[in-house]
Amino acid sequence: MNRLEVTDLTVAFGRRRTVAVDRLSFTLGQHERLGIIGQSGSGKSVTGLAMIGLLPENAHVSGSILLNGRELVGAPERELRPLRGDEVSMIFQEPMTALDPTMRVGRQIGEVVALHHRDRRGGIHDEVLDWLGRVGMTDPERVARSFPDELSGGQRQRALVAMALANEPGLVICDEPTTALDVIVQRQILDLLDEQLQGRASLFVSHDLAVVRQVCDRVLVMLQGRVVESGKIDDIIEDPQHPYTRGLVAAARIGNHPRGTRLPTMTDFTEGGRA
Amino acid sequence: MNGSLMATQGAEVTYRRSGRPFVALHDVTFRLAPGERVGVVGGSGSGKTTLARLLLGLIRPSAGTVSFRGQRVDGLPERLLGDLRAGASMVFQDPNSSLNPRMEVGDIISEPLRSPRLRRRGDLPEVSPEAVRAALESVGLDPATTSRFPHQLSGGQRQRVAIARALVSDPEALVADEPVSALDVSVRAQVLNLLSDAVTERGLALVFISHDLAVVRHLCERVVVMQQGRVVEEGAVDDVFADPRHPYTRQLLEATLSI
Amino acid sequence: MRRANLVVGGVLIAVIVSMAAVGLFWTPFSPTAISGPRLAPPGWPHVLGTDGQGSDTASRIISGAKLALLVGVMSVSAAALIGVPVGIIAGMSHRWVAAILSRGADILYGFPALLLAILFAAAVGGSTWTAVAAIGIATIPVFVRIARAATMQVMSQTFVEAARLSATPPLQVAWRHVLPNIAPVLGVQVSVSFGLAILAEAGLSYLGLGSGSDVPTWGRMLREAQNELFNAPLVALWPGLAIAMATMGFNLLGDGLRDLLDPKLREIA
Repeated sequence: MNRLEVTDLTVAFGRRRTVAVDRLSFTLGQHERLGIIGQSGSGKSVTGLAMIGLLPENAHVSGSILLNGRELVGAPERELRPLRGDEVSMIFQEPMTALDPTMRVGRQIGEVVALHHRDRRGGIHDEVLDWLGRVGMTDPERVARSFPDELSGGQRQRALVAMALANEPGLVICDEPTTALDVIVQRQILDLLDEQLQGRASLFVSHDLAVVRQVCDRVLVMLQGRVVESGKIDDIIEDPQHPYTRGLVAAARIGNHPRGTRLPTMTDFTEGGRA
Repeated sequence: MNGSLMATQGAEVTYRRSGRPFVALHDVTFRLAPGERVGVVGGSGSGKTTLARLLLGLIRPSAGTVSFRGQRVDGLPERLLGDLRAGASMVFQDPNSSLNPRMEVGDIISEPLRSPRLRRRGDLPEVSPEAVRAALESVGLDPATTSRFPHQLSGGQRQRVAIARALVSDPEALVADEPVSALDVSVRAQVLNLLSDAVTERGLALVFISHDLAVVRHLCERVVVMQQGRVVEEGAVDDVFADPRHPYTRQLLEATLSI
Repeated sequence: MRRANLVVGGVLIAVIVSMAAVGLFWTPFSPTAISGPRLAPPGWPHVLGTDGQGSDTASRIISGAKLALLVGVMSVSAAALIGVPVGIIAGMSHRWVAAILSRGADILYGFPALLLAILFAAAVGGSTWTAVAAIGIATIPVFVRIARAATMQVMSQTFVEAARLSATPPLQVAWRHVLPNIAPVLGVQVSVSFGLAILAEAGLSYLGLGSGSDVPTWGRMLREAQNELFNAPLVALWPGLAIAMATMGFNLLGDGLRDLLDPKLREIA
């Protein structure tokens, strides 16, 4: 059984039914890592949110999403809630908005653990410390006692990773998890994800091809709600077929152009990429 | 300091954070020659944005000096900074908060032209629809954008407006603080080309702050590497990147992803 | 319906305003003349009946609407015209100026409208204008606080730094950057304060500290109705209803505007 089977997924918003995702279909293997790449407005984030049932109220969803064989489209909230954290979890872009600023980090992670395993009352604190250690915190005790604003950006993101993995979900959705981080911390978090996502399936949403390449085997390229190209990441980078993909690859290769020369822009390849 | 357009000497900036002092910059000496393009790189907390604010007179050093065209500007009251305000502009990182959401694009761009202090310089173009249209054209935006509001534009378009605003007063130096970091990768090239062209055409000096080394290498001749408020390495971009001396520089280079 | 507050508040206020507008030109009877038997029940021609003197209740209610809105407009306008600039200055200034202005506002905050009205009434005798003055002065601190808080939030935005780099003079910054961005928040406060002003005026005239005895106000009507409560309870109902409608209308409108301002879940296009 595939981890995810998405068929003809369409997401539209509001009364005017603005289409964000247009008949999207793909499958995700049990331990596969799939990248979804596109720019703002391509529908990539909406796709990620749809997989975990976190779309806003004004979203109209049609099509099918099978998570471990269970249909998510049309499922009521009370059926979806127990899945979150246990079978599917999400790592967001902005740690400061995903973490509660008034609650100590250890307690927030503990709440996630307790949500699904109420019987393990005694061992929760130890489990929290264990996870903080696993995500690379050098002083788990201190971090657990801290509030989010007392930690660095990298530490906060590690805490988010811990929260997302604490209940060992089979599918982890990452929505631009390193976009707000500087280049060194980004590298560390990507290495961490590479390590911790072993044995799980992952959907990695990003606008940065170079980042996706670090973590994923396969990638979907999205433009205006549709998939324009898909395949193994190295194939796509080596031999991009669709003009938009070619533009993405060129945009990621700034280093190849000597100083003073003009950088190739998306509009050189396609009309869909005007800044 | 002679011949430098913008410079700091032994600058130190200390903030008070909940009672405890936090040193944002420590003994930073920096020079920018006219027409020169310098990149300032480092991770978060390196002090690069503080340096930008210092050079532009937005904050005061707690020690050391800051000068513009050889004249000291640190500690001067706002009304004596006319020369600096007219001669140097900034492009900020976040296109969302650097434009007044309730102001039309045309007014945003022409704001520097309406400043009495800048007008005293004498050679500023008049505030006119033509001047605004010319400014929009120079950044590749449709003249109809004049009457739009920031929220009606994309991130890349907003940055173009920010660049137009920075250039309208005809400065000699441009400080760009991570101008493309908040934009999608696919959109960055257009804005970078724009910056590069503008700087070349006008012979501007450029301070380009970024944590993206590939972009710095593409735009700048010299680079200054900062870590935790200190300058740890500097030199010609190609030299520093080919043969980094400081371990932090090496760390930055290793962390840079490429495909 | 998400916009319920806005709609209901709007309707209630529309009713009050229409009444007042009509009252500028015409009332069924003269509000102060004796036009019928005392305490007549609702019927024809006195649609809401008559009061203890024999004056037409409906005409007095309509007349009262004019006054309520007049007091509201004058007191809130005065408070805003004084309080908002002070608040903006406090929000834009360095520590000690802001501190002085804030403390000043706080001191003023300590004087409720009632106390001021009593002082004024004792000094120059109660009238519509002393009521306006008392309520207006008592409302100034609220506007100072809201304007200051909103200004400080705007000042922390990057576009204000950009204005500083453009050497924009502070007055221009206040006028073109601060004011347009704090206007929505101020609008909400105006609506809320309006409702409170109407309520305050009713309270003052109930206590006899407001308009003179020849000016029909809802508060005064309530006072007069008190005497006849056991004979004709309806006489108290109408002014009470009017006060409730007006106050609730402005409160709901204010709430509705506040909800409108909240960053809604924007449609992810």
